[in-house]
Amino acid sequence: MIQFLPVGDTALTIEFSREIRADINQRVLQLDRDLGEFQGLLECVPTYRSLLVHFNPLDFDLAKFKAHVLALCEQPLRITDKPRRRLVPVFYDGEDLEFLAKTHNISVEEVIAIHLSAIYRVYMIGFLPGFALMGGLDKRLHTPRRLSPRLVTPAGTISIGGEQALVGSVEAPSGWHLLGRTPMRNFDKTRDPTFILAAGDEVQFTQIHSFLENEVGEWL
Amino acid sequence: MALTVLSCGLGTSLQDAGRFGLQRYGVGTSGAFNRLDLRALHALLGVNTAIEFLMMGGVFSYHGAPRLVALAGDATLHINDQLIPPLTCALINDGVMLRVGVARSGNSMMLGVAGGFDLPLDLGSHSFHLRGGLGIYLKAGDILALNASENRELCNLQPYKEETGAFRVVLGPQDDYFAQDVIEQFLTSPFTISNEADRMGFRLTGAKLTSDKGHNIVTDGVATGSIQVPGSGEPIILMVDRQTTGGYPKIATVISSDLTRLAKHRPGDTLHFKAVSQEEAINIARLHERNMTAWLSSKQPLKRELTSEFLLSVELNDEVYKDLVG
Repeated sequence: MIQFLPVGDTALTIEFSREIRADINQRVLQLDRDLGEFQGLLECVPTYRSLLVHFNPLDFDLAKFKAHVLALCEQPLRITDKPRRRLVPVFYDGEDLEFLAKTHNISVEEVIAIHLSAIYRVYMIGFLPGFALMGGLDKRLHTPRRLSPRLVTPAGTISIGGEQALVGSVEAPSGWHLLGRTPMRNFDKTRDPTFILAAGDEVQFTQIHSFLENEVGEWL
Repeated sequence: MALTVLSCGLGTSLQDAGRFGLQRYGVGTSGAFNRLDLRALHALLGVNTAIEFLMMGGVFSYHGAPRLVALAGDATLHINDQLIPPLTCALINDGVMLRVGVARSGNSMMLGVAGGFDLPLDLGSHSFHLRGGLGIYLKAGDILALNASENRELCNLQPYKEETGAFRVVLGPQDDYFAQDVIEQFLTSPFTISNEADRMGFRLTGAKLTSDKGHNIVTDGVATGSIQVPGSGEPIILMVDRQTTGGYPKIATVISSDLTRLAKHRPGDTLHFKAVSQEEAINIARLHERNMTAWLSSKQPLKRELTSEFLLSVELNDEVYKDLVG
């Protein structure tokens, strides 16, 4: 059962659940696709388990919109095409590899091998431009976030936090554990497409053994 | 035809109404800190982008054909030695110097230049967004190319009479994280804007708002005005440079009609909150827009170019005059 949660007079959260689950996220993305044009609807932000709808309060019929959403949510979850799978190269030089190995009582090589072995699902892009927040992290690497976040982590950071995995884009503060960096830029304002990864995509990491800044553009 | 930046404060940038349609990719909207100032400059000059100053002003030189400029916000604008009141068009000629003073109240002011800037857009907008590396940030030495402008209609606007009193909020989306007595506390006690106040958000001090369910949620979307409550219990109101999503429970959202007057408050100022329903808030937005439209269309053509006589004819109780006789 969905819930409508008010976000001031300019937005509405359509909440499907409060947990992280692939089928719930699929429902969010299905509603996002199905909403289509609606008078006064400005833009939608799909997240793990809810869809935030920004609207123009001067030109929006809230009651009619809620009825529209309820009707759309009655539809069963469609089996969609196989998700796009993206290969993301990683240079494993992260500051937290040793910490993760020690915490989980395994070797650094095993940390890397476990991280490489999973297929991840992009649940949402958010926080900052092009940050891909993913599920699918192997239980053996689930690690609580750092108590004190780092103020700066580099562009292209590959990290994990809790049960989630991240492909970063721009420099940002972060409380997650750093495994390495990718020369792929999920956000590049000068490139078409500006963004590579989208919610619903699958990601597989592949290890690279050198990191040259001039390789940044070659991974598309 | 260009404006050259001779000096300016650290928070000087170009801002327009914001960057829309990309929040699903993590790109926040940014845009003018005080939307009302931008809309006033649009009404006076027809521009969609203006120079925004945070606290500190700036000095510019102008080269090109005569064109109009105007300042919105509570600061002085000098064109050479001539003081120009806020919300008042003035004609600038080749070789003049423009000086914008510091904010006497509020946090920001905007300088509009008729014709607008002939500068590239980033993802559809001029608005500077630091973390995304988007938009245009100004520093000494920058040369801002301008589009041609034929606009010669000298107008002015009286200051907008902002509402006063408690800031209206819609409770939610995670008000259920807080017990009834905490909600009561939120709606009845005073909060003070801390020194951590910028275009991203205002951190408030006052009553600690503690959640029984903890202060982490599975990340969901946020809006400008969202009031998130991290583990410290000190609420943060998200402003225009906010992120797109967040992992703290949000107790309420400041309604859009009250955001511009919120943007004028400074660290140390005290705020109160008052709850309205989402439906009420939408009706308030419509009424607010009617008031805004009426105000913007109340612009008056100036009888003459800005001369000393005109400036001296400004009403005695007007702050502009007080500043003039200084």
